[in-house]
Amino acid sequence: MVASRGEEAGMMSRDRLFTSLQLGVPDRVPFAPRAREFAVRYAGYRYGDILTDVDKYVDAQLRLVEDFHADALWGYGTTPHFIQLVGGKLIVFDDDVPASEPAVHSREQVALLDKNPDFARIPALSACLRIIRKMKKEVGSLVPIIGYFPMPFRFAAEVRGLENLMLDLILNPDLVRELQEYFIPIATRYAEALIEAGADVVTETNEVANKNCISRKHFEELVHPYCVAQIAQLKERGIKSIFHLCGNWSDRLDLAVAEGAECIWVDKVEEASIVYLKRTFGSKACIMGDVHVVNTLLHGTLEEVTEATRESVEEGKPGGGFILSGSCSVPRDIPPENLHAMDEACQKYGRY
Amino acid sequence: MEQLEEIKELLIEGVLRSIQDKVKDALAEGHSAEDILNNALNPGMDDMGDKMAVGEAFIPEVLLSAKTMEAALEVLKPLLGEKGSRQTGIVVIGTVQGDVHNIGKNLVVIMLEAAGFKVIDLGINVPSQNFIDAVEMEKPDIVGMSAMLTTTMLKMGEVIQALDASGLRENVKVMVGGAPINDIFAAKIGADTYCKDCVEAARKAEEFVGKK
Repeated sequence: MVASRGEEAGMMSRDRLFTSLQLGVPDRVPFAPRAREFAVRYAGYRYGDILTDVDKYVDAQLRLVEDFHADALWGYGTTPHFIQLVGGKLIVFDDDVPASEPAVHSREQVALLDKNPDFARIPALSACLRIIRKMKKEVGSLVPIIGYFPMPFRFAAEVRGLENLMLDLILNPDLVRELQEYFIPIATRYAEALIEAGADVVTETNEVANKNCISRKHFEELVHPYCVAQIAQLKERGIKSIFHLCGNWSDRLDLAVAEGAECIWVDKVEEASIVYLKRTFGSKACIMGDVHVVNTLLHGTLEEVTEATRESVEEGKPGGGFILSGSCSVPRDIPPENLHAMDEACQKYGRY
Repeated sequence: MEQLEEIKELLIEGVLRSIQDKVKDALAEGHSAEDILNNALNPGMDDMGDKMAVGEAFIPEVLLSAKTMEAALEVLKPLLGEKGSRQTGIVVIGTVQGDVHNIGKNLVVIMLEAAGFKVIDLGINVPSQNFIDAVEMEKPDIVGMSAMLTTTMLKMGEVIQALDASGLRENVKVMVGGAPINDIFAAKIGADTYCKDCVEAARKAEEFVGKK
């Protein structure tokens, strides 16, 4: 069983993260970079091997805790994995994240989809659940485990193909509704399966619903109600979630926060700084972010990483309810020293 | 002129079902195919670009207008021939290896074609060598690359290095775009510019070939 940084410093990582999620003040700002691809590369594995050898992923995540003092383990799985729910094809690359091909072509097809799929029979999702179980066995209740599933609209984009779904918003809105209605109860059941396997929290993304992609009007009518319903189902079951606002959400932050996730994980967007988010929404949701994963973690110097981390921590730390992470997933190819610098800056500036 | 305005409006509104009839009517009343393309369809896509730039149109609306344009062009293409296809320049474009996202790249293709470029679309998951081969064969003015993932964006730098190694870099301008890309990244890998969306891509492409 791995030791978490909390054993030296006071709180255990799980308590630290949960205290922040509940808008409390932990002993220090939790350090929770989502580093899936980076961890696999750092551990010397290839991403394409994970589905057939889940132990490699578990080992890679454990190294994040041991070598970088991460306060959370991130489950395996991205949205393309969910293509197998509808019988679609998962495209596995040698050393890149998987992709999928559109698999749903009509409303009639949606009506015929299996409403009660057995996750154990869906290879990609079964692998994700096995990984969570193995992680739990390794870390027990010391380090929190974060499972993943997409928001309903993001799922719809994957199975329809993004271009098709964008046109559906105008030409075939009923299909957009029905795909999301199909997915919500399945996602809830999957979230329950993640928790049962050992996850402590779940995270969702909806990166095709930001203002870079669709209007606020379309968001309000055809996306937001389904996110509200999804998170309400999680809350009814006591499942806490971290909602990643990937891209620019500055014109719909109010709606995103109203969807009810316990934590809002933000991208590095000028109009949505940590200071602004804490001031505006800090009483409703824990805020997570926002060291720029490309400009800083991938291309920055050690000094730039330290400075950017200090800025994020000092903006988010006051009053608690803040988790330090990258602005998105940590890129696979960052210099490991940069993640060390981020960890060290969190230790230095993040203590309460 | 009124008919051309109506066609332009149908394009902007994305009225797929009646665009072809309206184009046929315009032809029957004496408008040339070039006239319809240059004074209705292309200005309509330009207007959609303007709307996107100021946040009045988004991907669904631009895509629908593009589909409407395609439908109109089905009627016009047999009539346009060589003389009608004004060519602003040539662009080779693709989503880099390991990445299968195509919507951003497709939107750029649409806007470039509306601006009169000949676009050689290499598709998705394009190996570096395919970009090099296409540059050698097509002799484009511009190479465009798209990546949506932080794992694949570094491939853009590899393509630029391969262009350098092949002695082709000075012949082309390189534009890059995609969700994780920005000005800083573009400069680091030696691209000529970053484009935040399809509208900016078309406008910068025009600047590169000296149209604007």
